[in-house]
Amino acid sequence: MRPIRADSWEGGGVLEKAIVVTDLYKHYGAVKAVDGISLEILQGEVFTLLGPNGAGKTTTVEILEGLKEPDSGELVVLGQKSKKISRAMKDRMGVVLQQNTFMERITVKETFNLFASFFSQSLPVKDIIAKVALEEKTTALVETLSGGQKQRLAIGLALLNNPSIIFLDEPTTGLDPQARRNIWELIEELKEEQKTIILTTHYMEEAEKLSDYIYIMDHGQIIARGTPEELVAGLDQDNVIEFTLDPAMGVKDLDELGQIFPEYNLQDNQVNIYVRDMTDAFSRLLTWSREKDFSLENLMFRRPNLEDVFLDLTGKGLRD
Amino acid sequence: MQSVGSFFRTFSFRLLRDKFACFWLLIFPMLILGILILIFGNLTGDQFSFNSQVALIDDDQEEISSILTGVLEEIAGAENGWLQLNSYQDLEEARAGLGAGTYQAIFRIPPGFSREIMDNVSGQFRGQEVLPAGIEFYFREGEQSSEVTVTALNQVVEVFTGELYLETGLMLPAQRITAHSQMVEVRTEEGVSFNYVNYIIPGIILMAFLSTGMEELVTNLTVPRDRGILRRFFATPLQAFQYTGGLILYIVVIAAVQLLIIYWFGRWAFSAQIDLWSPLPLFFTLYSLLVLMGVGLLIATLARNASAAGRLVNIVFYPMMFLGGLYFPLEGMPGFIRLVTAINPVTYLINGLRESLGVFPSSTSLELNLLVPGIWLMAGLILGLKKFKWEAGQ
Repeated sequence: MRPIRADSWEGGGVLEKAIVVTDLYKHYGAVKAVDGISLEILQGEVFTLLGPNGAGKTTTVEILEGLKEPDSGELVVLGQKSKKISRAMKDRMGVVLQQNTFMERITVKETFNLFASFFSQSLPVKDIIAKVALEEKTTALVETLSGGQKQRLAIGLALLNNPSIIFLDEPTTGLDPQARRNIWELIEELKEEQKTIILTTHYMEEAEKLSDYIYIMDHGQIIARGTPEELVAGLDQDNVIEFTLDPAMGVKDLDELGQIFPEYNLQDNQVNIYVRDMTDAFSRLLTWSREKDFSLENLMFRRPNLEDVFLDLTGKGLRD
Repeated sequence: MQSVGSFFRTFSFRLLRDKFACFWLLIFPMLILGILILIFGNLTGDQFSFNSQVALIDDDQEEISSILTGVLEEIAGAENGWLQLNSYQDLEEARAGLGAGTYQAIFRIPPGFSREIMDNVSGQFRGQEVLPAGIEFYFREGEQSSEVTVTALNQVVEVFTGELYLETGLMLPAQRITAHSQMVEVRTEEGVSFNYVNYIIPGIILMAFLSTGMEELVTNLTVPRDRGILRRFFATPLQAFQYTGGLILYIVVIAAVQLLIIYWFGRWAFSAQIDLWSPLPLFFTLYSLLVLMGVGLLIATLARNASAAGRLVNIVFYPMMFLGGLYFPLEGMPGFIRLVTAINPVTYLINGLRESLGVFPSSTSLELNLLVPGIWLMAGLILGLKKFKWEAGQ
């Protein structure tokens, strides 16, 4: 378990644990969706769970949201110990699911009122509507909202009970850049309010921008964890050389490239080479490509990011 | 419990905003009630094989009345004849038979009939005022076979009049033998008076309940589940029974509104005379709604997804409606249909409801009327509570 980062909170005190999961298992026959994971989520942090499709992150999140029951394992949520998420725990959680569909032919306000009745206490609906900037849509039927507005509605519903923990399962998937930026701003605001946020996302930029701490899952297990900086530092490579694959390059040529640069990968048509000494590496790459008469289209030098960490650990892209 | 009320309100708002659903649930039953009454308004229970049993009373016993009875006997004696004659001495006895449904009509030749005709013929030549001779018919009001029989008998009398006056070479309109028809209120064995309007109203009520109790339940359980709407609900402290509670409350209220609309419309437009507000009819009404919701739960449980559930509802809806005796009595049907009728809970519910309302005697016992629908209800409840999947695609 990682140490509690006492200095990471402005209040200066020791951060409480919002959720502690120990030895969580969920198997579907031979499929080990969640295979003995343990994790700790601190109050007031944005905790991100990354993993390729089928890694088990959705099952993990669904167990934490109380939508699925684990086979075994222990959960401690806001100090309450349990085998599964109880109704009392759900009363202090807000959830934005990956796909948010709402009952049709009811208005935004009616949707809020309906959800308000599910919780033991709720914030004034008017305030929440203002917070997610849906004032002009109060009396609009839900099905007439745009994608971004629907997502803001979903987030508003998750805030209705003034939750301590908020789950955001791919909150910006399918949104245009402006709508995505609006949602990010909203998440930043929630972070400032010391809400604990559990985020899953396919967007590397989103994870880097928002996350305080990241767990990476694959095959039902946790394979890495750390702050975004720690994870990138863990790659032990300072630079990335990126270029588009020349159609003339064959498997043999790539093998040869791999001998020169052991740390390289190929994603779609893009070659990423991870190096420490950029000058030396670049001159070797240039020599090789000149000898072979290959072009280096869209050549770029950059710092490694979470996508690289992800590729390094799982061999797959975040969106795969 | 607050959420039960919230769901009730939400479902109600949704319905009021859906013009098609409003029409289907609230207006359509009135429409079908009107159409059926227009088509089958004169329908009776023994409609489907036309065979007239007529009670014949000859209180005249003179020459001309004997000729007339002779003519009738000849018609009755014909091969494949539609007429069966049964001679009576006593009018009251014959009327009892008519009331019990044994006869479609009574044909009575009153005393003095022959003499009136003779006076008529002779008076014509003396230039005296001509008074018509009369025949009396008795039939059941609103019953088609009875009315058809009387019409046919009238034709016989018409032809007979024509033949009778043929020899005089002249027939004055006033010389026609007039038929005095008297309507007799029908009392079946149990003392129930038959009237199609009263008969059809319980049928329309159950038809409306089929769409509310069964269709609405299935739709509102399976569609939100498959679309992930329920999943979002259950990520809150909400429990399944609270959602179901709100849904059932909504269905019961809509059913009550349907009941009132049909009842009020039947009384206002067709002068229906049924008394719904007694314990037994109210019990059968509520029981019917419960059973149909049970069938709905069964369908929602057995169907893999919402579209399969929708198809299954359609497959079940029409046989339940048409082969449950909602609109007309189902007798003399072929074997397969008889089987569907026998296992159809609607058959028993409608029998029970009609019997309890006193509009038509049940062909099945009260025990069966409770038991068979009860089996469906229990099957729906047991299977539904144990096996209904609240999550899609499992």
